[in-house]
Amino acid sequence: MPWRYILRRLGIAVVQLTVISVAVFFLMRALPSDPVGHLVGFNASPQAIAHVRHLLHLDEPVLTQLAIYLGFESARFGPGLIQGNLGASWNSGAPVAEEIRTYLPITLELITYSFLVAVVIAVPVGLIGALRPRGTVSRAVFLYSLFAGAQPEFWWGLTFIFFFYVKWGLVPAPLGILSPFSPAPPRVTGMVTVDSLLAGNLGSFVEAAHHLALPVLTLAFVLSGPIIKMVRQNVEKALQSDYIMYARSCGLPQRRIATYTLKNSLAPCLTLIGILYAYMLGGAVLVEQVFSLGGLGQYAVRSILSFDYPAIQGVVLVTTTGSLLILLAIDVVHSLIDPRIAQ
Amino acid sequence: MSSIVIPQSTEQGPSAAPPARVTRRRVARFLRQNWLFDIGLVIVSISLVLAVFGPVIAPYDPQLPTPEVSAPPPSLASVPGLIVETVLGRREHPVHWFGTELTGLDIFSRVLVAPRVDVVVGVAATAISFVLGTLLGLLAGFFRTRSAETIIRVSDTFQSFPIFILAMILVVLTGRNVIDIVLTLAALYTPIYLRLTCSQVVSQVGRTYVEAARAVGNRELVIALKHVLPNSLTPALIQASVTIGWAILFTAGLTFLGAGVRPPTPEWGGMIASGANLLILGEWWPSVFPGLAISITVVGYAIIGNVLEARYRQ
Repeated sequence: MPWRYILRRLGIAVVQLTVISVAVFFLMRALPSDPVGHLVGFNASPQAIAHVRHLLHLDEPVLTQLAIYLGFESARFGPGLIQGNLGASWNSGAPVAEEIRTYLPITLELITYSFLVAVVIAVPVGLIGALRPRGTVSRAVFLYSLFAGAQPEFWWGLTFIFFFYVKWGLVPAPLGILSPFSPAPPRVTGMVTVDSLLAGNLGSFVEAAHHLALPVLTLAFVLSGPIIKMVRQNVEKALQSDYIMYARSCGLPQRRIATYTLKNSLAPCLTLIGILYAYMLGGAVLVEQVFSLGGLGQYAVRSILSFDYPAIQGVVLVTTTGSLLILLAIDVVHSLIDPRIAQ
Repeated sequence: MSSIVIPQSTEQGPSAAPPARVTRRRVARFLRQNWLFDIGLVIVSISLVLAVFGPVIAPYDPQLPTPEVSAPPPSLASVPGLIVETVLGRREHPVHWFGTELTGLDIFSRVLVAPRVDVVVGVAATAISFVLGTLLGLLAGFFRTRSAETIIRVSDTFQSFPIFILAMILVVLTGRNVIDIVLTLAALYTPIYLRLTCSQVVSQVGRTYVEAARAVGNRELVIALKHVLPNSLTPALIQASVTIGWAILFTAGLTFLGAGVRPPTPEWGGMIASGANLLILGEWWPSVFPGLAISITVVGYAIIGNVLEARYRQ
């Protein structure tokens, strides 16, 4: 393992995280939004407005607010970020960290399965598309990846619901991962499919899988477009490269050549998958909304629409950390595949 | 000094073959051989025409309810007859080709007027990010100084940010106006053009034509803008069409979530959202037609980008 490389990257990630958190903090306070007005409603007296402003610490100077958020004023205002506290939501009063712990696993569950399905489809399809670059199959693959990569996934989700639920009754109603009457398995990871397996509750697992089938299908369909394109282009490029020509002229067996091609062409695809996965931490919100899954994206939308600053800051912090860690992991895997990068 | 004309042949350096010139005949042949590209071109043209003339073409006012509530579209069998009647001017009221919404709004008119928001946002955001990104990318790639490196670092950091959430924050907190969506998307897409142009510029600065331009005494800024920039634009130009499509999807998605344009402004994503509840009850038309419109439009822009990219790679 390239430990020095990882440590340096982690250091950079901490700096990036700090910059982004502080930037979002100031951004929200610089933009013309009115969280107090949202909380007190119409016709509130000036005293009530002043009172709520005071409760939210919005009457403090901005730098003091930042210090409170970061936790440098913990003696007066309670713990902040450096004490590991994300604050309490202005909507529910519950700790933001607690709420994120509820919603994040649902998003992770949704997008992880979607990526698995998308990759299982995309790698063989992309490979087939690359083998004969001018053939009919290759053209069909090109068309499919172009089409799938340019689709509004929320509309496809609705269309799938119309056919699979309303018309044919093949899937349960799009109302979350478990139907409201089924008991949830004891919470360990927060991901229902994993928890139900850990508890040995096969019924729950099947139900969750049944509920997840359509959202996963929707997301996997949209994701497969760019992944197929990437696989195809890279395999094509690898097949035309000098080292494959050399391998061929040396008379290496077909299987060895296939291994070389795949190894060299899947590395860039891995980067794309990582970037897409990081994007989907927030970007899956459209599918979450259509199927009422109650994921992190929906929490973000709710918080943003109600100007819930602590919740927004929490979501940004968590998703940014997530994407930075994913990108770091991708780079580490890359440097293991291709040692030139780490130098 | 600048009166010395640099001969065309030095433009590409001795090793690279000069690119074939774009003539009318070559363009015509390209269009004849690429039916897919032609389809894309037709879709894009229609979307642009609607973005400009949509309100003129639409038979009904897209924001004025008609008395007919939740009327289904005419059956396929009756469509030819209705077209004949419309052409002959025998209809008292225009046909609701796509049916009406629960509020009585004519869906066909709304679908036609929506490009005013979706396509205009896409084109405007792409144009701004294209200009900003290519210029910054040119500066960063051509003058490889400390500040250039900072630009690239900043744009990298920006990209590791949860972009969808950032966009929602920016749009909602600035008041959900169309101009806010344009500026937000422009900010999000600028790093893409910056990177594309920068890497292209870096591959150009060592070329012979740059040396030649320098040898005859051009100023550095003139070399960058007049000689290197035109030779580094191709990837960014190809990307532009794709970005317009993304921006349309993004705008529709934001509005679908209730974080974009305010109703009742006609916008495809908002129309899908307002039809979503009825879909469960079996009324498919309020959400299906705007969805088809997004799907077809974005595919059109994607075709242009992808076909040009495939050609550029050869």
